[in-house]
Amino acid sequence: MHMTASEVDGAMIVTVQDRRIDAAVAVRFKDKMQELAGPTGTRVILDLGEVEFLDSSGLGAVVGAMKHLGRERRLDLANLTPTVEKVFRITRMDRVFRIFPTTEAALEVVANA
Amino acid sequence: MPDDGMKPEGADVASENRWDIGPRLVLDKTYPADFRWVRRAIQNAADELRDNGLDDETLGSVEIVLAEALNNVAEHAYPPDEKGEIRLIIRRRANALMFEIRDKGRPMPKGRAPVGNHPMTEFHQQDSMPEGGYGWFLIREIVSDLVYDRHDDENFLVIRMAIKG
Repeated sequence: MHMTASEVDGAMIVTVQDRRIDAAVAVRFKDKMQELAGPTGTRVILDLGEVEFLDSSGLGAVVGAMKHLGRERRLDLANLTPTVEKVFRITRMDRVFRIFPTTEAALEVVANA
Repeated sequence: MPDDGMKPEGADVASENRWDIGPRLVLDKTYPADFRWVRRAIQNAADELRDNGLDDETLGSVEIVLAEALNNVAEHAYPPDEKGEIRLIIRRRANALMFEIRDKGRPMPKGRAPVGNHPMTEFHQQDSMPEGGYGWFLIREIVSDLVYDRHDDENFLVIRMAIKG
């Protein structure tokens, strides 16, 4: 699972470089998220711009990553491609997560607003 | 294109494709029942259907449905130490796709395909939000019809998905 993290304006931006978050890699995605987000810190913005496909296992892993961050650290999503957006919309998880068109748009909004 | 199963008078076998009378076979392949091969199966299906003229939005829905249905077989049908197989057959009509997914693993629980209720209730707080159970919900939301059957120790999941003609 190829993922990178960089700290920008007090937020950790995690970028997924693989094209799929599916059953084959969901566990590794979740582990990598925990590793990159670190034990403490700020809000995390997950950039999914390179991800063309996410299935229910991938969705579950994103939920798991959010739970792991705890109540103090928010997980926001940015840059969803059409099929990924569709999975969030159909499952109504677009009401659970804040979804931004770009990471820049996410950074403009304060963490817990 | 007519898709009512009616054959024009005097139509011979050679003209059937032209009239799109019956479903046309798009894919019939058997894969090892594991997550990596499911990826391959989805890729094969998407490539064939793209060549068939399906648009990206429809292909996205196909990918979601196939991922959930095939991964369900890969995860639950066979015992962990058994190398099972999944057969995927795709047929196309003018305004629908038919997926037939076969395996020789365990029957579905209670002999039925899951109802696919949304796993989340309004009582879930962030720290208790379910991390699974969205698969059958996604399938049921996208497809038009779904039938599960079992014959001679083989599972058959037949899915119909409406598409723009």
